[in-house]
Amino acid sequence: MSVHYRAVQWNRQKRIYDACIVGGIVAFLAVFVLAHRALHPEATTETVLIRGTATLALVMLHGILAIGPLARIDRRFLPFLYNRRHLGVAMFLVAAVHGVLSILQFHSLGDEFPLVSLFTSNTQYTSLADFPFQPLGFFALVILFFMAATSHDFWLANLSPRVWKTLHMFVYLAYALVVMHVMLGAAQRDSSPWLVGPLAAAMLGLVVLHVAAGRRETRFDAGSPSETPDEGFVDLCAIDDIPEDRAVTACLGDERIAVFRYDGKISAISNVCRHQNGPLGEGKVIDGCVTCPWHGFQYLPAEGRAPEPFTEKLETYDVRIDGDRVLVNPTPHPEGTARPPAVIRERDVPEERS
Amino acid sequence: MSVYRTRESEFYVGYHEKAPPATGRFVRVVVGVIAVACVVVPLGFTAAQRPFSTATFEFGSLRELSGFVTRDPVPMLRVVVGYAQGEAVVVSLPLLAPGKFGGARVLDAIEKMIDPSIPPVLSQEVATLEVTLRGTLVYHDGKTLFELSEGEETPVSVDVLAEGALPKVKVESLGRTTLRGEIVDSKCYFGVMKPGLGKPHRSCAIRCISGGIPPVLMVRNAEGDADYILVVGPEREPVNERILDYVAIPVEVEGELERFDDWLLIRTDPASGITPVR
Repeated sequence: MSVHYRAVQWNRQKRIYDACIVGGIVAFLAVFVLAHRALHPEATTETVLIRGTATLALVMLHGILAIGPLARIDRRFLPFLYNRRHLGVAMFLVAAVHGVLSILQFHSLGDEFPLVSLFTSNTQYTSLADFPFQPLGFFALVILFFMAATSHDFWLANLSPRVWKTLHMFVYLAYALVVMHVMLGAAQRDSSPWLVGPLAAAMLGLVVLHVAAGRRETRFDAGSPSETPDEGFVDLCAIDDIPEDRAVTACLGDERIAVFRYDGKISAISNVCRHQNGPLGEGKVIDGCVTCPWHGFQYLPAEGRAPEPFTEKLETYDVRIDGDRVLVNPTPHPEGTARPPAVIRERDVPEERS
Repeated sequence: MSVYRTRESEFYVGYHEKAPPATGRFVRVVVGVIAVACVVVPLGFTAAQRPFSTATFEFGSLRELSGFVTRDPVPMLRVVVGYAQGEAVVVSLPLLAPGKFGGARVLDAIEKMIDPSIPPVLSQEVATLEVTLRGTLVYHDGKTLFELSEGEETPVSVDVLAEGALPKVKVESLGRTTLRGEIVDSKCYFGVMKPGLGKPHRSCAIRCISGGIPPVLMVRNAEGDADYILVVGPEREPVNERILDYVAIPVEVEGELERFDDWLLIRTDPASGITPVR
């Protein structure tokens, strides 16, 4: 978190993350080039670089798309999510090298402007088999460019998280375009099952991961009441169901509410982080602040807002304790409305059985 | 009431100095797997690819060749490589310009450099000139082309020959025929790009042929050996702009097959003589 915008807020883990990205890119391309020198000495340097950057960008894109559902299924993947944007920008740069080299190779030094030639050289737009595959890659690259260019928190704050998130969901359109780019291009010339097979397996893997992560979410929402009373409190859980400095999350009506237990108190806030819609209910109270598990954005649970000088605000909810039960009123208070937490008295907590 | 509760004792925060121990161990294992993938994936991809062509483009290596330039059937340099039974043995090298352009502009450049008093250069009379050119060889499978590389369009020398000093062009009609194959651009296929054929290369081949590079019909027999046939119009005129829709796809070409020195050519009307094969 920062109240000012900086190009990159470096910290130790971010440096390690980026070093791994650069090291991985260099290692992948080095192995690719050296393997071609050994196994295919006839291959031209341009072709090796075009294919190497294409393969690497495709592998990176699959990794990027897998991180989200993996982190939903197993929270130990969260460190990969924390700086995923760096991986996305790096993937765009690799893909851009592929795109620029391809346009230079196939369309430059001719009788037509290269970007015009890209769309007008092969004009079989009505044929699936002969469809020009290069414009598909170009449009995928344009999408990835806008995603990389707007990846900084400056754009996130100025576009609003909702618009930003919607824009970045276009990565799935880019992915579809890339798959078509490969299947209608390189795969038509080189249809070895050892090339097409891994791509098909990776696509299937992504689908399975997304379905598994999605089922986990829908199963949780399905267990929540579909209708909630217009007023009044809903019995949510026992006090001891909430671990200290942690939360339980419940879907009341259309909203997910995170109910935190901390420092002998219980507060309820919106589950949706204002940064990137991260699940605050899976966060932890650190130094008195609810900390988002995705990027560490923090909020004061009773205040419904980030600590000064930060300005992010959340909806808050009234909480009541009845015996050892926690009750929540699902009617939200406007963002940033401070609500007194429910205080846990000693007699509210049942003694541990010996 | 169904509620969701996290059960992990550890909590990762990206801007803390270190990850929690168990999370850190897990991340190191995953990074190790990714590191192995950074070696295995490029190795596997490289091994699984189709073999590359042995075609050669002697990029950066300039040679001087002497011969007779002609525009018929395509811009060529005809080089006498020896004599057999009293007759010159000629190897014809289609001429190429830098980039995606054919030899016509090479001949145009030569014309500009020649003494304007020699008339007219752009017809058969050009064949009365013996020129020495400097350029880069492109060759594969018994065929050789000559690119007058950037800055090398100027002939090293030009000599006007006496009548009768020219090697005779051997033209032999082989009859009307239909051939099945793929139309490629000769510059890329014979060495400048790999692969220089098929769908991935189609846009480039269209650009090259549009720029005047001679189109060649590649016909493979059952044994996998290839014949290369220059594609020209019924009067041996260039048909480059008329065949762009048929480039880099399987086609049948019907026309008059001829042997022209050491090249085969097919004279065809693209509108009626070329058909895509599905």
